[in-house]
Parts: sequence; structure tokens; C-alpha cells
Amino acid sequence: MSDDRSMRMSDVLRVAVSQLRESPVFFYANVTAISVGVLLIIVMLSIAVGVRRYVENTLRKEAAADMIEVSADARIAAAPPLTYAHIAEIARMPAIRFVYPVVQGVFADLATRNGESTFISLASTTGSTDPEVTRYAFLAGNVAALHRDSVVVPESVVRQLAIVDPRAAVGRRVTLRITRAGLHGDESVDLPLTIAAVARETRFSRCYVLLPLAQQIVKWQSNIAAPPPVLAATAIDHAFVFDTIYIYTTDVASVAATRTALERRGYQTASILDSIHRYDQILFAATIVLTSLGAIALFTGSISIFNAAYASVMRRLRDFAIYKTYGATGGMIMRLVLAEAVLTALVAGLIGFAAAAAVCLTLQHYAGSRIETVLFPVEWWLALVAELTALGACVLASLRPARIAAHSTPVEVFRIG
Amino acid sequence: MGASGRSAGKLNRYELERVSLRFQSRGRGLDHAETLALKDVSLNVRAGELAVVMGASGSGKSTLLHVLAGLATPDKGTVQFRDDDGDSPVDLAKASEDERARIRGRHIGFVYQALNLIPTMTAGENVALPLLFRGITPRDRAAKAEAMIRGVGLDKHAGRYPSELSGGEQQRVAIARALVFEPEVLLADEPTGSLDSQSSGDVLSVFRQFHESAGLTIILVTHDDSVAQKLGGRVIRMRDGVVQEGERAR
Repeated sequence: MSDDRSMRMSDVLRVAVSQLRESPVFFYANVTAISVGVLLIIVMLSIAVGVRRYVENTLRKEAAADMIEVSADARIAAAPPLTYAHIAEIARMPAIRFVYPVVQGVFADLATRNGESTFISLASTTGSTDPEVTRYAFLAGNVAALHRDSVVVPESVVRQLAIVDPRAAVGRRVTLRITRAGLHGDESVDLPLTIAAVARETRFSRCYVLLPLAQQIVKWQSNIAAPPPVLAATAIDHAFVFDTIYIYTTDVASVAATRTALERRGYQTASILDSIHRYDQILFAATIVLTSLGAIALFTGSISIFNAAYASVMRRLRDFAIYKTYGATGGMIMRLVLAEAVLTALVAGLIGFAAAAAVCLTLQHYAGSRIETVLFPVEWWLALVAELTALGACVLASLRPARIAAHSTPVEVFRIG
Repeated sequence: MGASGRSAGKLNRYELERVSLRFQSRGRGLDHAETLALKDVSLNVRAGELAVVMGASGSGKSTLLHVLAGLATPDKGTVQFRDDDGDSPVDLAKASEDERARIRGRHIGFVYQALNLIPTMTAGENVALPLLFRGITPRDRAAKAEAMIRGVGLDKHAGRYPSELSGGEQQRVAIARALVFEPEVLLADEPTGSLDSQSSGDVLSVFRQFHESAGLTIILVTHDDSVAQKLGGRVIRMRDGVVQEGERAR
């Protein structure tokens, strides 16, 4: 007596569709409620993803994820000074790919012969193999053209010097005016330089000169007895004590261990991962708050689904009793009710995603068009999230009514009503 | 108590042994009440037999029919049901709800007093309904339903909704629905209760036709003596939940 086949899935769906068609008002109300919740959640997720990518892209322009900025500040912790000898020791640590000493924190004036000038931040580079400069996109010129008497500038500095076309800036003669506090007031030195290349944008929008010149400038500024910088000097000062070095690890995964090892030696370290982590935390909190709004809307929708499913089941208890009289099992009845929830969810998820996509594309058009990164991405996995979210809400809300329908008994229904 | 046992090589379709069923009203305190609907009922029904259960309103005849269909579970006793497949008898009193639903879906057709046609389905769809739960394809369902509707003389009414049919026609649709999956037993609760004599005669002739041509076991509940006389077969009389009179072969 157990050879009967189960109800066909196509029949389950056919019956579910006909039931939904019988109560179009309930169906449209449920679809609307769930769609709104899905829309809010998808838009919030899209914004969260877009902002995270934007933050990552922006930060990665300033530093690579596998780079550690190491400094030795005796006021914070006793660490071996960053001399070439100690830098060489650091370079021998495991998982280290490159070590680049850098001179930074030099502020100066850069002026054209036309009298246009701008205040700049200057840093050193070791030249065409230094990842600090090679990772930039150049609008004109090339870092390989950087010589002892030339400078790499970012696009923003070129604009401030009133040079419209970045290509016209390459080869242009400029004057770098450096200043220090002397015994009889401020002293300054003018260094004639040529613009070697224009980068789209550099870290903190700063300019770069070769390391020997940067060393001379810092020594002159910090030591009253030091001679003024000379462009002809090409040798690196091996007695120089750097404030900062950049370390590139073999991979991003080694960054944490390398930082720990360096900090044990007394050095201070910083990594772009810190900033990304901080942004992530802020973004996570914002995403939770915003997604909660969507979840509240979805919850409201679920209550509507529950009410509609409950009312529908109570209205149809007599039908289910007839089904049971003619061989329907509790499982079949449950599948019939849940199939209605699934169909509602599929339609609501689709409409919610389509509406969210429209909102995201509109926001991108008006608010995100000036940013290189897509701030409101619309991707296939968001459609999946939309459908799963709608499905979860609808099925959960219909479970209880479905169980009531499945456990109703014909005699009780017909006797008591 | 009527216990006919086996005869002429026919197996007992049903063997009820000391079946009791008590209904409880859902009130509280003084509103709470119990009704003993069936009291120690023992009864055998042979395969292919036509039995008419008679009794006054409240005598327990409909409850007996519900127990035979597995729609109600007795508090006491056994309800052995044997099908034509040669399987061991199943005790409907102990079978699970789903198991009883499956047995009904294969072996037992049921006609309610109130017809219980689904108003949003056409006569054809109502008749095909039991086949839906057996995994039968839509085409086969339609063909079987059409043949069954023709069998009860309603072939021109298949596309009509119950509200567009007369009482007699609705009853014939209900009978067609109960028989569409070719059950071995047909249980009918007051099938002519709300019909005029002409319609009542039509419906009874349908019962007789299927009983004679297909060897269907029919158990019919009625309070109307004339129905029992027109239909023939064994009469089982009930009073206050007790089978009073065993059988009267006609």
C-alpha cells in the first residue's frame, strides 16, 4: 500500500499559481512589501561595496598593501638609528623584498620663470627602480628621465603653476626655493631644476628629487653649519640618518609578522592595511546601520506575508480537507502553501533587485560619475542576494501557516469549521 | 452486532473490532462536554458488498463512515482494512495521518453529505483532483476525468463550475470525483439527502451501476428507508453509537 507516487512539482507550482491568481490584491501587497525591503538591502550593499572599493583604490594609490613605512623616533622608543648599516640589517630580515630609504617632510616653493609659484612637499626617490614612484601613472615624461637637476611633479602642482597641458610642463625650467632659520633670520637657496615628468597624482601630491639632492637639502635645513645644496653632487651620503624607510615584503600576508619584528626592535611602523582596516570598521558599522533599515522593511514585509498566508490558509482549510480526503498528505499540503511563498519571493526578489539596480544606476549617474571607481555597483551576486533574501523572508513567514494547513484534519474542519 | 465473516471466497474488506470514539467539545468548565459517538462497534464488510448504514440524526452513522475512511481515529478498537493488492490488512486506527491519506488516495472514494466540491474549479477539475495527488500527468488526468464524467452522464457539463450545476448534477460530480481513481471502496454520507426524488433516483442508479459493473464495495449512510429499499444490499442500523441490527440481506 505504499507504492503511490508523490505529487508532481509542476502540479504543485500550477496549483500555487492558480491560488495566487485568486487573491491578486494579497499577492501584489506582499510583493510590494518584500520588494521594498529587498531594494533597500541591495542598495545599501551596493553602496558598501562601492565605497569599500573606492577607499581601497584611493589608498592603494598612496601606498602598496605590501609596503611598511618604518621610522625611528627616539622620543617614542629606543631603536637603532636608520643608518645605511642598520638599514642593511633590516634588509636581511625574512620575507623582505626591497628596502628603500626615503627623505621626506621637506617643504619648499616651486616657481616658474613666469612668476607662478606654489608651496610643495618634497620627497626623495632612488630613481627608476624605486616602487615609490614607478607605481604612479605618468601623464607626460618618465621617471627614468629624472636626473640630479630635475624634479617629478604631480598634476595638481602643474595646474597650480598655471601650466594647462601636462605635456608642456616636461622640460620646463623651474626654481626650487628652500628656506631655513639662520642666525640672522630666514635664509634661502634657489635651485634651478627641470620638470622631468608629470604624474597623474602622487602620494600626498608631493614632488620627488633624487636622493643625494634631498639629503643635502635636509642636512642644510637641519644643520646651521652645513653648506648649501649643490646640484652637481651625485654621491649618496652614506653617513646620513634617515627618519623613514619603506620596506616591501614578499607578500601582503608577511606584513603583520614583519611589522611585529620591527616593532620589537623599537621602530614605529605603519601600513596601508591599518587605514583599510579602519575604513573597513567604519564601513562595516555604516553598512550594518543602513542594512538594518532594509531588514526592518523586510520584517514588515514578512509580517504582511504571514498575515496574508495565515488568512489564505484559514480561508482554504476546507479545500485542504478535501485534498486530504482524496489522498493529499500533510507534506503535499505544506509544499502547496510554501510554493506560493516561493513564487511570491521569486517575483518580489526580481522586482526588488530591478528597482535597486535602477536606483544604483541613477545614483551612479548623478553622484558617482566624477569618481573613477563605480560607487554604486550592480553585480550578479546582488541579484542572488536579492532572491535569497526574499526567499528567506517569504518562506519563514509562511512556515507557520503551512504547518497549520498540513496538520488540519478533514473531520475537524467539517465538524467545527 | 453484525459479524458476517468470510463467505464464498470473498475476503473481508473491513473488520471492525470493539471500536469506540468519543468527541469532546472545545468549551471550558460547564461548556466542556463529551459525546460517545461510537460504542464498542464490531462489524465486518466483505469485498464487493453493498451496505446501507441507517439511523436517526446523531446515531453515529456518519462517524462510523469517517472511521471507515480513516478520516477519524477511534479511541479504542481496531479497524482492519484489506485492499485488492494482496497486502496485509492495515489497522486504520493505528496508521499515521499520512498513511491513511495514502490509503484513501488509492483505495477509498468518499462522498460527503455536503458534496464539498471546490467552487473555483470546474466540474472536470473537481473530478480530476484526486489524481493530482498520485503524480499522474495532466493529460492522463484529463482523460480519466473526462471518461468518469461521461460515466455519470455529465459529459456536457465538464467545463461548468459547481454553482452552474443542479444539486443532482453536483452530487454526480462528487461521485465521479470519488471514483475517478478506481477505488475498491466507495463511502457515501447521505448522498441523496438534499435531492429531489428524480435526482435521488439518478444518483442511486449510478451507485448500483458501479457496484454491479465494477464490483465496488459500497457503504452508504442514509436516514431514508426508501434509499435502502431502492439500493438493496445489507442494512446496518445504528442507534446512539451502537449497531442495533446486524444485517438484512435483500
